[in-house]
Amino acid sequence: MTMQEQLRALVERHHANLAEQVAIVARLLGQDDEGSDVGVARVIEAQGLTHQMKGTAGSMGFVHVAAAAAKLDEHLKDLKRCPDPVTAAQRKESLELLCELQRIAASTTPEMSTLYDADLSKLARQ
Amino acid sequence: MTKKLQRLTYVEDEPDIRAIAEFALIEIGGYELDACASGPEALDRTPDFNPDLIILDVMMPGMDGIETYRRLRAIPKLADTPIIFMTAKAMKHETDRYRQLGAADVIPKPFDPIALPERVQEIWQRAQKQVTAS
Repeated sequence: MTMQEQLRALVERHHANLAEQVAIVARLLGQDDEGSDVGVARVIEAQGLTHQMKGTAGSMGFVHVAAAAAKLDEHLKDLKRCPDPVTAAQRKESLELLCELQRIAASTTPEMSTLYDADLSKLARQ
Repeated sequence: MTKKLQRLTYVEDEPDIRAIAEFALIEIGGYELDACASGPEALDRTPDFNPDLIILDVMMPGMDGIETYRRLRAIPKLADTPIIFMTAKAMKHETDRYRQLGAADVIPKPFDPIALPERVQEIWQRAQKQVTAS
């Protein structure tokens, strides 16, 4: 396997898990039950995952996913300071940012990573 | 004579980040790497591996990067090993704090894996110059 193939395999593996990661955040934020309250513990967990997604997606070259995750991460940092439980009205903006993250993640392909076609030929074994 | 950077320990809990950094440091950088998934794993293996430099993620579940740093520093043979923090919390006050703790430098996340080996090499060279000067 060439270096380029190894790098693409890493990008593809990360991409394959992206939708599930976003789905976990959606479940934690109660996207399917927008009218209900959710516990602060779930918001804290969602913020941790979103924060991680920002760093991982960005390092994997998915800059648009990372940017959308960063916006949601920032908002969840404020939301997790709300009194427990967090109401539907309080998390309305988070759910809008989540929708944007879902839209971007769903339309992303491995080829859109900045690493996918990176020229590694001059870099090997510096 | 300046010592060559050869052996790195890299501590990161997130598997995809660990994998892309491993790829960059081994395949592009040509370094000998021990990649650890947690602070306790690093404390267990790093004294025997005896790296030239350590890269440490800050936010890890359980034992975080700061605590891992303190415990690694308490091991006499690692007391002077340059340690780089890697973090998504890279606001100036945060990076200042890590440097005050004694970190050689801070690499913000997200990072460019292709540029990572060169960045690590730069930090290593600067750390070596400081050792030579002192």
